This record gives sequence, C-alpha cells and structure tokens, in this order.
Amino acid sequence: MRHSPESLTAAAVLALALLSLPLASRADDPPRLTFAQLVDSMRANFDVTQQIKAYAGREVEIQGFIVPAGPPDLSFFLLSRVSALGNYCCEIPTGQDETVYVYAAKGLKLVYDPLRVYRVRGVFEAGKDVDRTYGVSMFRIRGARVEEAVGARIFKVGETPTPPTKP
Amino acid sequence: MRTAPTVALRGVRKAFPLAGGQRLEVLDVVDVELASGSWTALSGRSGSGKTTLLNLIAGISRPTAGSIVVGGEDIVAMTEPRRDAFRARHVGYVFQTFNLLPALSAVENVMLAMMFTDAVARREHRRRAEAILSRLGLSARLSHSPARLSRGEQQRVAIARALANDPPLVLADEPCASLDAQTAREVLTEFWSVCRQDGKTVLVVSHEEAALAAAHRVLDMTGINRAAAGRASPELVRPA
Amino acid sequence: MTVVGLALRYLRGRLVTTALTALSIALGAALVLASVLLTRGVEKTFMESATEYSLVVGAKGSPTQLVLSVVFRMDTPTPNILRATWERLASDERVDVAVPVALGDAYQGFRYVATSPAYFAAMPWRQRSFAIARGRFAREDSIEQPSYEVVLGAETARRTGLQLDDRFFEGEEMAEYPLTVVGILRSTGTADDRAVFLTLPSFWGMNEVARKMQMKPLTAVLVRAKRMSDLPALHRQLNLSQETQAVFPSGVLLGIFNLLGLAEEVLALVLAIVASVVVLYLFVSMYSAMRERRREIATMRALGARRATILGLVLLESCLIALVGGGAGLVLGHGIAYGGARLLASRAGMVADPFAVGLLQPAVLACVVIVGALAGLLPALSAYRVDVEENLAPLS
Repeated sequence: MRHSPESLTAAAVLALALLSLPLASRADDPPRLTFAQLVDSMRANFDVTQQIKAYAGREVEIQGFIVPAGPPDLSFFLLSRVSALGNYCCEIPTGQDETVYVYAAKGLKLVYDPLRVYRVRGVFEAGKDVDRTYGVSMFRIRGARVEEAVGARIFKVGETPTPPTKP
Repeated sequence: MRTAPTVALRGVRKAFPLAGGQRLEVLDVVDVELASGSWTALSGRSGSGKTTLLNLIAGISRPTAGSIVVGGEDIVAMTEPRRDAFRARHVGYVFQTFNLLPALSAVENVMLAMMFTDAVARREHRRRAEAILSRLGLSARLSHSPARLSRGEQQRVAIARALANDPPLVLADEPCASLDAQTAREVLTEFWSVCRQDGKTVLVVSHEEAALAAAHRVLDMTGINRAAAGRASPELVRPA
Repeated sequence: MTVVGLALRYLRGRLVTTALTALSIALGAALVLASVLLTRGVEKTFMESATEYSLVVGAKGSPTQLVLSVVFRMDTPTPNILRATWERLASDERVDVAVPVALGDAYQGFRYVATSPAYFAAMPWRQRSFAIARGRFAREDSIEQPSYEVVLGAETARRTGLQLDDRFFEGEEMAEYPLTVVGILRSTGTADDRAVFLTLPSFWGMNEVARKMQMKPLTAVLVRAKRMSDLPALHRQLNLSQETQAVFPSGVLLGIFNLLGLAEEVLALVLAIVASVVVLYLFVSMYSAMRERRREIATMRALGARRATILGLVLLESCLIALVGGGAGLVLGHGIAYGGARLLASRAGMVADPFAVGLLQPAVLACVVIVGALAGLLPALSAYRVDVEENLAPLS
C-alpha cells in the first residue's frame, strides 16, 4: 500500500541521510532516488540543490509508474510517483519535480502495465532542459533500462515502515 | 594397362561371434597365391565360405588372423577408409545378383564406380563408361535403366562396372548363377575375353563348366579351407 | 557422376515421394514466412499510424474503442462530446494544440472525418506531414455557410475512383447536400489514406440531427501538451470530469501490443507443431528410403565408397529436398502473404507489405536446410552403419 506524504518525507529524509554516507558494500547497485528527494531538491527559478546535482551524470535508479506520453515503443515515457490509472488515491503530481522524463536505451522490450511499479536505471540529469519534442523538464534519465520492481515489503500489524532498503 | 599383381593369403582365418560368447570359425585357409594375369576358379558347396573369402580379399571384411597381400600391399593392416579406397582402385567385383542401382542408367551405373576413386579423370568418365559397355556389346543400351535390360545385359553392365577403373584384380561371385545356360556361357566368354586382353588377375566363384574349363587353376573350398573339410587335400587342387 | 548428381538421381527415382515431402516442407516454410510478414505488417501499421498527440479526449467508455475509432478508424465511433470541451481545451494554457474530430458515416466504407485545418498543419513536433497530391485543402467555412468540400485520402481516391470536382453523396437523406472533391492527399501509409476529410461545418450541415442541435457534437479532441510534465494533471482532470475521458494513445497501443504478443506466441506454438510434423514426415520418408536401399548401399561400399561418403550422400539428399521445399515455400509464402495482406487491408485497413525482402528469406531458407540435415541425420547414420557383407546378396 502507498504511504502518506508525511511518512514518505520522513523516510526520504532518513534515506537522504543514509545516502549521504559513502556508498557501502552493494557497489554494483546504483543509488536509488525517490520522488520525495526530487521534490525537496527543487529551488526557485528552476534551480536544484548541489546535493541532487551530485548525482548528475551517474547511474541511478528510480522507481515509479510509467505514463506513456511518448511513442508506443516506449522509447520515451514519463516516470511518475502516481499511476495514470487506478483509484486516484494520491495527490496528482502537478509539476516537473514529480515527473521524470525517461529516454530509454535502444531495444527496450517491456510488457507495459499501467498499474505496476517499474524500476528504471540510467544516467541521471538534473536541471532545466528543453526537449524539442517533449518540452521542458527538470529531471531526466537517459539510456534507461527498465524492469518491473519486485519485492514490495510486507509490514506486520503494528510495524512501522522503515526507509526502503535495496530490493 | 599395368602389370597385374599377385594375391597372397597367409594364415587367413575368419570367425564370426555367436550369441553366448561363442565363435563360429568359417574360414581357416591354407596359404594361397594367385599369379598375375591368371584366372582362378573357386568351387565348393554353398555355405563353405566362398563369398566370405571373396569379401576378405576384396577388403570388405577383415580376417580374424593372417595377412592378405594384394598388389604388394597388406590390406589387413589398413584402416577401413584406406581399404575402401584401395578396393575402389584395385578391385573389381561382380555380384551374383548384379546389384545395379535401379535409379541409374547403364552408363551411369558404370560411371558410379569411377566416382569413388580418381583413377579416371572426371571429364573422361562418360567416354570410358561408353567404351567399356561397347566392348561388351551394349552400345545400343547405354541409357537404358536396369529394368529395361535383359538379365544377360544386366550382368554385362555389372562386368563393365567392375572394369571401370581398370583394376588389376577382378572378383566374381557366381556371376552366372542368375542366368540361363546359354547366356551364362556367352557372358563368361566375353568376361574372360576382356579380362585376358587387359591382363587382369581374376578369381571367379562358380560351378559353371565354362568357368572351370577356362580356368588356369581350380580351388575347391574343401581343399583349401580347413574349417570346411577338416583337412586340406592337395589332390583336389588341379595344377595349371 | 558426382555425389550431388547421384543424390539428384535418387530423388528423381522416387519422384512422387520427393515431391510430396518437398511440398509439405514448402507449406511449412510458407506458413512461417507469411505469418511473420503479416504480423510485422500489423505491428508496423499500428506503430506508424500511432499518433503524435499526447492525449485523445472523448466520451467516457472504452479507451481502446476511443483510440481505435479516432486514430485508426477501426472500431465503431464512441458517443459524442460537446464542442465546449474543445473550446475549453483550446484555451487551456497547458495545451499547445487541440484538434477537434467528428466521426460517423462513411462513403463506400471510407469514413468521413470532420476536423479543423490544424489537423493537417505542419508542427515542429510532427514527424509526418500531409501533402496534397492534387487540388487543395477545403476552404475555411462557417456553420451558417458550410462549404461541403472534401479532401480524399490516397487510398479512398484510388478505390472509389472519385476525381477532382466530382460530387457525391451516400444515402437518401444526404441527397440535398452532395459533397465536392477539392483535393486528394498523397499517401501517408496510415489510416488517413482511407478517410474522407471535411470541415466541421460541412459535417454538421449534412447531418440532419446535427443540423438541429444547438451544441454541436464532436467525437473527440486530439490534444498536444506544451510540456509532458503537465500531462498527468491534465489527464486526471479530464478523467474526473463527468463528461469526458482522456486516454494516452500509446497506452492503448501498448495494451493492444500485449494482446498481439500473446496471439503471436500462440501462433508460434502452432507453427512449431506444424514444423515438427513436417520434419517428422521428412525423417520417416528418408528413413524408409534408406531401409529399402540397403543392398544398393552395400553395393556402393563394395565398389569402394567410404562410409563417410555414404553418410554425406544421404545428408545431401535430405538437404536437397529441404532446399527445394524451402525455395518453393518462399514463393508460396509471399503468395499467402499477398492474400492475407489484401484481406487485412480491406477488412481492417492495415497495411502489410507481402513482398518485403530482407534477412528473413535467407534465414528461413537456412533454417529449413539445417532442419533438413537434422531430419536426415538418423537415416544417414543408419546408412553409415550398413553391414556390407550381410546386405550384398540375398542368401549366400
């Protein structure tokens, strides 16, 4: 189940703290960014924090829902915190900070399910960019590889959710 | 035309494995030599191992013991592919049942034999096949399939095939058993005529009068095969 | 005589069996080729007809039906939405372009598509362009004075035989409002080739019901957003409204592709079974031939042929049948694909190229020959192992 924005923010802050430590043993897994982090990193005038800029040019992982705003081969799509379908349980993302433009790597083969969470890994870009076809964006991932994100954590009754660990 | 070599058998034995680990010894022959250019007839009851002996000399099978020297080379020591190649070049074989390929015409059947060795140049194959068939009186039947040939004609084609690569040694296993007496005589006469002209060494398994009469030497299986008769008997070997 | 010559001789020797075996191989290969060509065509049609609009807005109901009818002109049109919806979207600051589309009725099966000039205009994000082959686009008109001018898609013009300045109508009630052909479009390779384009006022004018309506009806609005990141919000807003739904056309297409993928898997399974049967047939045919040929094989061995030569001969025979069958299969496959393509075009408006030549044909042929070799392997081995002595003569 999805968490409320407050707990997600708390989790994100904790995650940020953890992530700012030197990356530990799982060196092969790229660092994971959350939408909350992206939101928090926005500053006035389309500027972003140094912290988030540190990830630019590096391989990261973001999990979210696919919004097929581009061509049907999914060479371009939006990654969003909230699914385009579903029960509209959450606040709809209204700005660039909660939508990531994803440019897929060549030859991406994917079975698209609007209600699944996908794990997108690719080279991260932060900062304002105007794409000729798709317009302006704040965050992008290029050369993305996409797969379904499996392994949602199941919480027992009374257990409080802890920050998301590596899947 | 080359000088025909001799065939020399020394201590040749052949046994077949039976069920239960036992062996049936079919051949245990005395030492035999076939002179170059000679016609030797091989006679004996059926089951006395004549065909087996022929197959050993042809290199189609290997003896359990002994050596078989054909044209100066011991074929027993050869590997199977080498023996096959040797046979293709040096041995012509005429079968009792003709064994022509029904899918091929007469001339193609003769050309078939030339396919397995390079004694004759590829572009000469057809010409040579036609020439040999003409020598045997079949120039009008070149493109006939075996089904359209008489039995005598079929055997002539088989003889032509055996001679295709100009082998020094020609083996014939009851070549006239499937022919009537008149045709048998004719075919045998032509067969021997051609072989003698070309100086071939010939070993014929037959009980035909014509074959025995023309032979320089007659070998009887009971005489040379200890396993058939129990003891070799020199009186049964008629001198040349 | 060469080994190849001998193999051909043998094939000719049992001509009927050879022909039947080759025919079954040809059928199998043809099926594979035709299905690949046709499925590629279907996918390509969808991909190429895919629209560059970010959203399709229409009445509530099936998203698939909306996209199929508006973009691909395949399904039945969805219920109407209000013109006011278009006007609201056109004035929304997040929207770059909002193109209205009205559907309904057809002339000889070629659908009327009423839209605004924006549908044809060149846009920076638009990769395809509409070009007039003959004539011109319909002139601007108004609800009071419809022009009743139409522009035909390339395929429509071809099949109906309508020329410039021809006037036509379909059905009794249209007799008072015949339409005039003023332009013919160049081929686009999409469903637009099979459309009859007219202005919205003309569409509303020629339709008795629409003529009386105050609020003029539309089927859909095609929306291009200025920024992709505005789409999720726009999408939700339109979906939450009572009147409309908004659909990502790519999303619908992906759903269709999922289904197609499933169908393709089933088809592949069926083809695999067919191929297995064909291979089995070839194997049985070769194997029984070898059994009959024992004496001949023994004879060839007695003539000095090596075992390996015999093996090669049998494999060659098998491969030759496969090669002939494969070659015939390629020709037959293109023929079947041609028939299938015509069916697809007439029934579903899809464009499949039945004569596309690429790596597919050599690949199919190579596979057929390899499979032929495999089918002939066991018979070849059995020929390899023929006991010469046993098989030379019937009884000694």
